Amino acid sequence: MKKGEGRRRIESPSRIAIGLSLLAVLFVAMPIIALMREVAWSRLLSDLTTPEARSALRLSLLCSLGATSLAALLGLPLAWVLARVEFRGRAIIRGLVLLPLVVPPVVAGVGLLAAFGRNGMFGGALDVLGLRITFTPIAVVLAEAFVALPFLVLAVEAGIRGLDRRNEEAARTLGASRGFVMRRITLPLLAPSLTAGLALAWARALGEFGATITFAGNIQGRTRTVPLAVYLLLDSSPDVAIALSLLLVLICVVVLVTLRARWIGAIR
Amino acid sequence: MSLQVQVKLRFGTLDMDVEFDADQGETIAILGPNGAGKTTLIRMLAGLQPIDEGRIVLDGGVLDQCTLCASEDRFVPPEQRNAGIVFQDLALFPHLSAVQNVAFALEARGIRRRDAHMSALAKMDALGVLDKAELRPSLLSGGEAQRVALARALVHEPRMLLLDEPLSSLDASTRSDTRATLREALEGFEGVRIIVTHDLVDVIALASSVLVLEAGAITHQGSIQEVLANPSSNYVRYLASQQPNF
Repeated sequence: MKKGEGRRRIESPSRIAIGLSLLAVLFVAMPIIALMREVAWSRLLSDLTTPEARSALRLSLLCSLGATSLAALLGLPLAWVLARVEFRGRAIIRGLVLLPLVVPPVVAGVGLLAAFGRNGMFGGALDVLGLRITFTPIAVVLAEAFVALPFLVLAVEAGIRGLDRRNEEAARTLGASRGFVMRRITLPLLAPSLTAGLALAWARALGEFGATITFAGNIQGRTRTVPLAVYLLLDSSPDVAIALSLLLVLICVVVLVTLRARWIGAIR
Repeated sequence: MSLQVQVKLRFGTLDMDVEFDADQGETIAILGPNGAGKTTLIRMLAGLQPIDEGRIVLDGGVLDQCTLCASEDRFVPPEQRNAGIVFQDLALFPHLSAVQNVAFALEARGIRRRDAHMSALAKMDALGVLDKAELRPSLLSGGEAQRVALARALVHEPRMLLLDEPLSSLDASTRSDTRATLREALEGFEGVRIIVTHDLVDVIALASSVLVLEAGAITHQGSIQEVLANPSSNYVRYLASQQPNF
């Protein structure tokens, strides 16, 4: 390619492409702009501090952090195995782990109910242990972790695959134990992918609705997270619902800004 | 300090069967065409590639041994071999500064960070890259990165020094300067020294003897003059036709 050729091509796209691109941006931006128009800015703080909103926010924060921790606990070793260990059926395992990305969340909730519900596959065993999961915050954590796990695994597996193994080999020949290599070489090099995976998983967990309402129910103070509260309050207290929605959007923006250097910046 | 190598390894399509000794103070150059097994041999010595059969012994201690009798087998992992390696692409840690790269081997041995950095700076000073100590590898020139990699390989006083095409990525003028630095470093190093190269000038400048590795087997062995005077393969005949005047 001659110098400047790429630039010329970028500078002269077809008008149809420009028009459709603008339409696509508007399509994404319009609901957010409309939402911001609906916000009762003067009452925003009081709307966000109603007992109902505070309860939902507190529960959402705790459950989403719990779900992200659970996803990390299970997802990091899995990402490692998928990236580094060659075994038959690896593609099938990866497909299975990514299933929550495409399965409708309500269906995921039904599946979780069938597995961990009172009459579910493990319901009897859980009963014997005195554990009841459905309609408790634990169910919220499980539902959120289920949908968040693939985001974490995808990001971290890609990061591990992108690591140059020669760095780790060089470190070992320099006398470093496996633990020292992990601490000083692998984890620092993996930090951007790890941050991206955790942020995406957390954001997904925070916004989870379908699996949560199906598996955990909608009990204030126990399982009613912010998305469920938004849905419920749209009728009775629309201002609070919109204020909570705005908060979720802001959190998503923060996550995107966190990932800016890694993805948006990389694309540019 | 001496190294005895007698190894067999099947690696992909390569069938390696190599036997040689290296004595203290001797620099052995391993020459060979692409795919001959040169880097694989370095990896076996470093402990990054276990052997299928045979043994590697350094100064009387077995580093790797694989026999028909499994109870006699032994494998010393890379971190316990005390080798200094300069990889072909250097493999400097991109997230660490030059001095942190050099100090890494010392910190890995439990030496306090401050002391490790002081030793690393002294080694970098000896190799002429002290002023680059705080730079990340991506900001170093080819020659500077090469010297940092050499400092990293030497700072922990290894028992053997393995250099895998250490000058191959440098341009002609940098190569000449860095070769002189490398020669000084090799002369000051008391352990076993092995250098993989494609370049006859490197061999003449740096090595005391040569092994020619072709398709996993040693085809020629001796001083560079002896090897070039008695070529028995097309590769060595080609080398002999390319030799500079010396």
